[in-house]
Amino acid sequence: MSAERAQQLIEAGIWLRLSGDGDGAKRLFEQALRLDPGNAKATELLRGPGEAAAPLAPVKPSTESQFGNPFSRPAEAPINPNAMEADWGMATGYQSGIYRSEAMPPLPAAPKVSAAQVVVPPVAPVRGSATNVVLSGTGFSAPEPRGTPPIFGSGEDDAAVDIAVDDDVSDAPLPFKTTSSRRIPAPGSPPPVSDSSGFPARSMDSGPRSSNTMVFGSPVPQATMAQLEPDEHVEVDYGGDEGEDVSVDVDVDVDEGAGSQAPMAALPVRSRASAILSQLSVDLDMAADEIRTQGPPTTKSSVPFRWPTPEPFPVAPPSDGPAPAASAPASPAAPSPQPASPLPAQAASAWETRADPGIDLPSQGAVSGPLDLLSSDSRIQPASSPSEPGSNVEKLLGAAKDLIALDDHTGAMELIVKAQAIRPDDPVAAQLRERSEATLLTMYESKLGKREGVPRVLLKDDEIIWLNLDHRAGFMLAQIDGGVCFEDLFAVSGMSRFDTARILAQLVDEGVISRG
Amino acid sequence: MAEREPVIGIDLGTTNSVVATVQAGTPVVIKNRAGSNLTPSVVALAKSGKLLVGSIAKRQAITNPNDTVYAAKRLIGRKFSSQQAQDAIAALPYTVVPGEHDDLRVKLGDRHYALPEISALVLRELKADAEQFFGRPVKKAVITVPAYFNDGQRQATKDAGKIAGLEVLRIVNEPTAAALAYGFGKAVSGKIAVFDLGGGTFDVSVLEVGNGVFDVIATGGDTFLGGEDFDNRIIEWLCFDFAKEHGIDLRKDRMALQRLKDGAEKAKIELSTAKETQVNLPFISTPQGPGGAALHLQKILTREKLEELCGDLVQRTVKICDQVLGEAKVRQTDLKEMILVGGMTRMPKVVEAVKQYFRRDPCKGVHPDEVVALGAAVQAEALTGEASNVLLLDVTPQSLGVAIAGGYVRRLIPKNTTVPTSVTEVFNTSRDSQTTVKIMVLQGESEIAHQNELLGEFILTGLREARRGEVEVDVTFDINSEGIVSVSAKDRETGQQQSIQVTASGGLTEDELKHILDEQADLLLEAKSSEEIKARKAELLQLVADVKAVLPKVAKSTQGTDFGTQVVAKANQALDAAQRAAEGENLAAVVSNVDALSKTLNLLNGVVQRMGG
Repeated sequence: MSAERAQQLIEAGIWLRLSGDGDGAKRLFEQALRLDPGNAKATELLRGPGEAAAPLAPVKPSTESQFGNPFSRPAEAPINPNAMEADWGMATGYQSGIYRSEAMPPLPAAPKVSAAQVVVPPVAPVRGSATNVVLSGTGFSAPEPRGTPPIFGSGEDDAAVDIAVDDDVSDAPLPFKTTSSRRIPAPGSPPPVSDSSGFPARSMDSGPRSSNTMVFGSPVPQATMAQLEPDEHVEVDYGGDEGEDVSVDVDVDVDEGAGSQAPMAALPVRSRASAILSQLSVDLDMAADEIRTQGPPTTKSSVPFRWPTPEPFPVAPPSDGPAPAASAPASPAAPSPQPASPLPAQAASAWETRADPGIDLPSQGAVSGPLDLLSSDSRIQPASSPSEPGSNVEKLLGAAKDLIALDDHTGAMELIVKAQAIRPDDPVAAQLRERSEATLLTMYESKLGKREGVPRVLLKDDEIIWLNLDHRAGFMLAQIDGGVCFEDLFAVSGMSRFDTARILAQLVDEGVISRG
Repeated sequence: MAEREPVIGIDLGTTNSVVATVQAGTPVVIKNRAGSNLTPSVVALAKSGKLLVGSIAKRQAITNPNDTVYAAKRLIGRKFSSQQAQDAIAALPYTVVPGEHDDLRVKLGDRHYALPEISALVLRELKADAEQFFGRPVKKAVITVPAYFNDGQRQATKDAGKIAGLEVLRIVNEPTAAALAYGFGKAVSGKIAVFDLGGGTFDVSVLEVGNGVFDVIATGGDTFLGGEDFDNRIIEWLCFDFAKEHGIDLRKDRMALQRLKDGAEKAKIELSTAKETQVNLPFISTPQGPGGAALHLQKILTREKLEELCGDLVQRTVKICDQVLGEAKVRQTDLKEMILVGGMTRMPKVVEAVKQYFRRDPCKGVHPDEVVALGAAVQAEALTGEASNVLLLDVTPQSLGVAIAGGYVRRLIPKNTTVPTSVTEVFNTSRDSQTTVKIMVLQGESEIAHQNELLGEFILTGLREARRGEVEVDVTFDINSEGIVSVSAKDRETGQQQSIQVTASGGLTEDELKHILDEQADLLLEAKSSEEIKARKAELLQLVADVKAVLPKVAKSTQGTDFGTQVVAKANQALDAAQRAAEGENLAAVVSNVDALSKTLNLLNGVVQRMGG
């Protein structure tokens, strides 16, 4: 019984860690260890995310939490956006601020992506030579969006990925495993059997202006390509890493000048990079979902793969001439002449290919190996397994109660919100939420000082714009003019008292505004 | 000599209101408690249940549109079924429902408020500001209304004053007040134009001034043209560029729109004095999707650009001026002076357009957004002061008449007629064998009957059957000094008579008004007693703390004595009783415990003094 309870606590702790509440997670792991002192998983997790993620990248456990500290400043000095156009190579962590290597704890059960590389096409107006973006991440299975969105855009939360920009990817000091260059087979031809990574080897004619993708057990590249330029070369690889990690390597390589025909070419360099990175982020999530249910292909499991037919991916012409419209799948003005569109008819965008990926995915029972790659002795089931939503709610609420007993209402709220996302009308969840909200509200209000007190903005305008706030915090900040008291701010916020108090408390905590 | 009772003048505007008084012979604006001369005429019910008035209510007007009432002036005193009310309602986000007498009610939370109640909340706020300024209660006021307000609207404004606890000495026309602020009643005689471009409405009036009479000879305008339209142009411009850059329509986000509105208004005001300004709205929007960093809106707006954006609005004002002057058959050269009223007239482009049209420089020296309130204060002072200044006469604001055959109006009492007054006119039957005649009493300036306000109607029966035009009926209009209109119709042959008495109604009946006033009194009493109990409790708790502080010293210094034991025990009893009383809401219990504990504290302090503890 206690072992089972410990297991539940571990799962809940993992939720919390994924949500960025490292402290809350630690408490749960400790409690699990007290119940089941021999629990190896708890011991392992208690060692901390830094150790667990060591093979991937130096990871700083995130202290962010939606309720505890949903407010973060970028770890690095912010970059003047005006300077970005000229020197966007320094844009690490800016704008696409989620791509940082500091926050993501390792995933205990879901397969992890150890690295992702993207070679972003050069943009002629800015650079003459090829420009590469190296995107690397500790995991693509980012935590699910939380029930209540964080008020401050986190630089550390969803997927901890580093962006480094180099002129030449081959010279770039890649923090992670670099992708070996492989030849990609032409669409329609069967993939070669395997390579040293344990995955089916891929080969494809990748001429300088070709746009080809290979997918193993995931529709990721398909979606990606629909948004990329016609002349890009994309490789996606889920490479097993020493039997422990699964890595995704994505290269996008486009020749100079090719972008002028593509939909994204008109975007500024930084926006394009952000767009591509955002796309990849979506891809990574999709891949994570697929792998969670199907598991990545390995040589051991020999995942069945069927090349999509008829030719779902538009292929750029191999010549250096301007790409014909038919090869630009994302361009609305130039639809693909292929009779069978790679996108399902009902898909509103290229990202909705999930509904009809065009790939035969193996059934769940067909793959048993992928999880073994990570942790053969893991008994942890994905907490959000769609097969058992009810039991997950019980587990989440049980863990929330434990956290409330430990007086960790912030962590409890995280779990309650997740439980309510699964079962919105759960009376226990509502009761627990009310209780935790009341406690947290008192806590937040105590940080504000007197309700009749008039807060003042302590930073100058040009300092404020470098903060990492979201629009709701921005709205509250705009209302603080030295004449409005806290009580009036509650009245004008248009948000619930709880949300308003949380935002104001965070602004006080961060030294942005004064207490009352 | 006893100090004179303070009296105030109030400009109850559509968008903003101002309160002023006369001090040492000079009219001055009374700042509100937030330090501003203008108080937004906005009332809101916050999600917390708190009733907000003024700038704090305006701040959340867009984020809480359903429970924020603004531009109540467009509705006050109107009938729900009237076209003007329906036009106004169509443009308002809050809920307006019909009252029992075809009046209008505004839904705020679970309650329906009559329009005078809403305006009363704004007036009460202004009254409170004035009371803080004077340091004593203010009970008397002069309130201004647009020149085109009819009796019902004026009465409703009076009712609002009454609900706010003010005795409304007089309702004064806004252009008249503006003219008074410049002292035109004495120094200037002749025609003057008043160009009033406010936050939500535009009015232009021509006055004939002289010998204490301010005759509004022409008035016109657009009740849906004002500063807000200028703000909206800026907002559109900002949103368009932002959408172009980021693909986000900020107008769909209420928080963003609220900030845009504030930012646009601020920029517009700044551009009245500066050539360019920066609209700086950091963290205006957070793109959807993971990792979207909040976006800033930073844009330079030049005066030139603003003028380009709003050029057509300025031209509209000029066109209306032309219309009004044309209808009044007044040429620009006939005008002696021109007064600018309303904050929007600070905009250089407006000043330039007005100068060009009227071919003269507008009067300077009084802030255009304060001039009406200052004029009202001047009039209030004249009404209560010993030294008689320009004293306005009570006049009928609009013409009164009866409906005649063909759907037209026969005016018996033209507008601006000094009251009391009485007029009789003879009418004939309009068709053969007509035995009854319907007398419809109308108020307004239109020649078409249905375009005027129907004040009441009655039927005179028993007329002799005769050919059309043979039977004569005397119709008499009589207005007494209280403004009560009596209309009677008398058959000249038979002497048979029917009459009706019309009292201007602001939409509230006497009973309803009384009920509201009683409710106000109860609330006031409740608030007072709540305040008192709060204060007494604080006093009691302070005494508890003091006794607790001194008690150990007494216990120590009287240790081992019967006296000491008794004193400590009694003190503890008193403390317990006081703490129980402090937890309750019984004022009498709190007061008696304050007394008891005060005595205990005195006793203990005495013991400490004597024992040297």
